[in-house]
Amino acid sequence: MSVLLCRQKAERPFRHDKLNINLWSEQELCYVIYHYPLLCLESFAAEPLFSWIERELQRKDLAEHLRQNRRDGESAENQLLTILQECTYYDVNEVRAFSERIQDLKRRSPYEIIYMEGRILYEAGKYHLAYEKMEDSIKELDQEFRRSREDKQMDVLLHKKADIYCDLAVIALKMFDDKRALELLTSSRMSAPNIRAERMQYLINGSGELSDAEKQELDDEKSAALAAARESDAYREVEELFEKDKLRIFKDAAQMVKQWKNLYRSML
Amino acid sequence: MPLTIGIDLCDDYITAYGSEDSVLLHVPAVVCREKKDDLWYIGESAYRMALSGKGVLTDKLLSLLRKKGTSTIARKAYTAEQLISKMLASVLWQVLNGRDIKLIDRLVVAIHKPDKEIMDAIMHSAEDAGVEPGKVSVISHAEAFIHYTMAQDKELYSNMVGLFDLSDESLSYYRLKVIRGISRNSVVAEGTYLEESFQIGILKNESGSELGDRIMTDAAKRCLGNDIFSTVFLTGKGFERTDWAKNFIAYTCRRRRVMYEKGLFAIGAAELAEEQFFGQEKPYLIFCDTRVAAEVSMDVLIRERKSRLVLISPGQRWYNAGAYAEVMPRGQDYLELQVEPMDKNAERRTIRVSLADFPKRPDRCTKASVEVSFSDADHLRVKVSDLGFGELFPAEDVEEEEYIEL
Repeated sequence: MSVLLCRQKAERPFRHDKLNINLWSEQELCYVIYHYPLLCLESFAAEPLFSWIERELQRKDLAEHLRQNRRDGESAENQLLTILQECTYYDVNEVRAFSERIQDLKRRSPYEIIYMEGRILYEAGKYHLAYEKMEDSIKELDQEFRRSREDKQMDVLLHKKADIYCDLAVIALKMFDDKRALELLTSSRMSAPNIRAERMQYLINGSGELSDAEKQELDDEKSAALAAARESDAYREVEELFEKDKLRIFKDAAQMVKQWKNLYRSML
Repeated sequence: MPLTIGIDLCDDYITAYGSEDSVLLHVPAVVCREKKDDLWYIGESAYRMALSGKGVLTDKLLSLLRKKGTSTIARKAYTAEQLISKMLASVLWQVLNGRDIKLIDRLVVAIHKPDKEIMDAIMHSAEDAGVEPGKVSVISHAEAFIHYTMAQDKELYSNMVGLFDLSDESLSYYRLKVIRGISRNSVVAEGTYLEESFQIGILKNESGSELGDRIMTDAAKRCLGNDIFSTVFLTGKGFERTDWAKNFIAYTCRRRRVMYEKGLFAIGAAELAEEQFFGQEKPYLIFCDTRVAAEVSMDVLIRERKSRLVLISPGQRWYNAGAYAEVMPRGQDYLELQVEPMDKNAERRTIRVSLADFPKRPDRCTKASVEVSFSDADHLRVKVSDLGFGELFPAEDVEEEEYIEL
């Protein structure tokens, strides 16, 4: 247990394009590298970042170190490690764990890495970017499929592809696009028969090849989810809105819709 | 030649002392406004104007300020701050009158006891009176006494130094001591009002003089006791003549030097004004009612190394003392401040500020600002505010405030 002394935040932020956020301090930079390493490997450790570290974080020593590394042909992951080590936001054990995580990632196939990037973006609420990444991972997966010789491996890849289509359908649903979600589920089933696609389709439009017991189970789950939603703060907020007088309804509804729009924009 | 001025501002008199080693002004602290025109007078002129019926006089301005009172003159209510501003403007005008210099390079005002609101008001008044912001300081009589004494010959403060200040309505006693340190000496001064004060008007007749002498002798015996004093200074209107205080002087002069100084606090303030102008740093630490008598710090990690972050240093003037730091708790939901009094007999304390009401976030994802300031010499205010963690975890409007008695 301890207290870290922080420098005051930078006057100008560094834009992390993939996460679509601004970074204002070396702690935030380390946090992003540590939690989203896949989003920091390609072209992240480059001159714009070094300049920002030098100018805004006033860490000329670190910026020079990174530049020298780059001239020496140091890999992107080692550049990230250098930043983590020099900023000391994470301790030695955490940096070591990070290094192992990176090594583990490097052993994975290209489509897996792209898919994981998509997952990270999805978890960070960047649905549009996540969708694009997952589409890219399918293209990469198709190439690997064409290169593969063993039936077993081909089967694994097809099932993985079906799963990624389901993930894409989930994102489409998050973006309120049911039609596209259904198309994606069809693609999923065409790649490989899978119960996940059937279940999702049933939840969307009531079709899908499921047994009666499975349908009943999903109906129960859906009812429970709807009941929980009715108890949520967001639902109550809408209900309370309609209890207000007409003028207030329009004013507050406009405000609410504005918030929803902002939320939607942040997903893109 | 720069013009630096020290002013002693009391309820009864205002004394100004300049960098040219002379009393520039010593007048009753009264202000008078002409009834018809917006013209202001101070001191004897103010009395004359009031006696002629052409003006309205206000006195005891510091008491008025303390009570947050107002004075209505020509159907307009003036706050004490405004009246002090008028008085200071008149004082400065009289000081500058006939000189080539049109600006004050540094002004230090000494008041009896430091009080944040009064000090704020005097700062504003001085600025309203035309002194540039940043060129004004307000100190206490105890601090002015230190600056005055330390500018004297060393022999005068080789042991303790006493000071009696007898004004129209109050009697105060101050005591100063130089503590020799290994690296740096410290000067400690404290003052107190004495209960046995008397109206100096009684000194005009024989029986009153005898009573005054008896009171002062008893007070001297009690205050000086068996301690060894190098010097005892006398100041204030009551000591302008000392023929009434034969026994007091005889007692005080035993094995001690006794000196009278008119406007001692103004001279002390002027000493400081000059030092501030020339950017000189005292070779000793000062401890009195305007200074902090403890170190306030935090244990922090800087590049994985444990360090002590000193927020407030002992001997710092509390009036404008303050610190700001941004920190990030790691594995804990509180911050701890260490308070180490300069008095070696007092215990070192740890003050814990809980952050339990701060938003729940992953570890090391809450940055907090720590602001420390003083309401007076003994009360430290600590404000801890949530700064969030950039756009990853935006800040919320949450803060914790603690008042710590030092």
